[in-house]
Amino acid sequence: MQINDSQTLVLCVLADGPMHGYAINNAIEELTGQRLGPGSLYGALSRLEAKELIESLDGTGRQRPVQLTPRGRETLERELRSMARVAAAGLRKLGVSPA
Amino acid sequence: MNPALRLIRLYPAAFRQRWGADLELEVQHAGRAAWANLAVSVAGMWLRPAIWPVDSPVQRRQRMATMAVVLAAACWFLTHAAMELDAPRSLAGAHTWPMNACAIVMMLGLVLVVPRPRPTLDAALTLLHRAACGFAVPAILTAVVTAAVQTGAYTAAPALLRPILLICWWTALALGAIQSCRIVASLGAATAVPPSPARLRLGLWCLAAAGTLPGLILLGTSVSSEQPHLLSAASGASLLVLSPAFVGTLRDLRRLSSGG
Repeated sequence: MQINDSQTLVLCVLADGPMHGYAINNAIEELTGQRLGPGSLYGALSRLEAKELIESLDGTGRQRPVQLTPRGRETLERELRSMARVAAAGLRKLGVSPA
Repeated sequence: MNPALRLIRLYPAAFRQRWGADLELEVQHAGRAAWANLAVSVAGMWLRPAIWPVDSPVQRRQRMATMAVVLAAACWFLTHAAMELDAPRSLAGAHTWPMNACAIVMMLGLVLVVPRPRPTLDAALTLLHRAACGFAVPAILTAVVTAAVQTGAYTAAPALLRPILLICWWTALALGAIQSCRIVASLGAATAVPPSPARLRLGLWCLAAAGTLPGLILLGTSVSSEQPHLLSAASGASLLVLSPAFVGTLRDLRRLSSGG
């Protein structure tokens, strides 16, 4: 696996479409029941932008929404497939059938 | 002002310009729990200039080069302080070959990572002006202390004056190191060309080796010697603490070099 949890979460919620930072954290809270700390969220956004996995859109006002790049979409898919393989193997070993 | 907003001000300017407005909105809805998270993030961001928002890949390499120079300056100062003030006898005088070899490797690393000035008159004049402004105070302090030692005024000076001269000497060295970093950080694209990824990588490896080995030597000899050498041990430990920052910059360079 290449990217850490907060980065995976951000990429995951951005799969729904472009969002700005606050909306990303709302979506993460909806998904996991917990918001990321502000430092963690914007650190993750900065890392993802440096890796060219997300890009900024021209926004209105001071905030600019971000969206997945094609490379970000590929990375997310690879990451989720890898996580799904690990989850399936773990559940099989526990004798639990995947939902 | 809300402490969280104060913490946002501590982020690097490039990060603040890009994410500051979003961060302010986020911290308005976050409680005190966000303060520690922000503080850790601020420290992490200063240690990872490679991930700050940039206009071009060249600007990213310039920042990584600056980071390498800052770390090298810190390593040099710590090693120098330990060797001058509290070196174990086996290392005294800085004449042991491993320490000398590390100093040479550090110089080589610096030559590799420092941005090269453009061969134009404007670039040369800009560089000279910044060097003259930046090094004026440390040069004056060094000259005063050197003159005091050379003329014998230092040994003849009252006991109260000697510590002042010593403080001047170490202030001059620290200021010189800080100003070197500031000058490298201020070099724009019109004045200097940042190192290529390959040159930066090689330079970072040299600097990492030249920073880590003296740390191991200082810590090892200080701990194993009969008399305690607390400053040497602390300097050695600090050098080892700095080493991961070199490794982090190298890792960022590898991960991000595909983008330029």
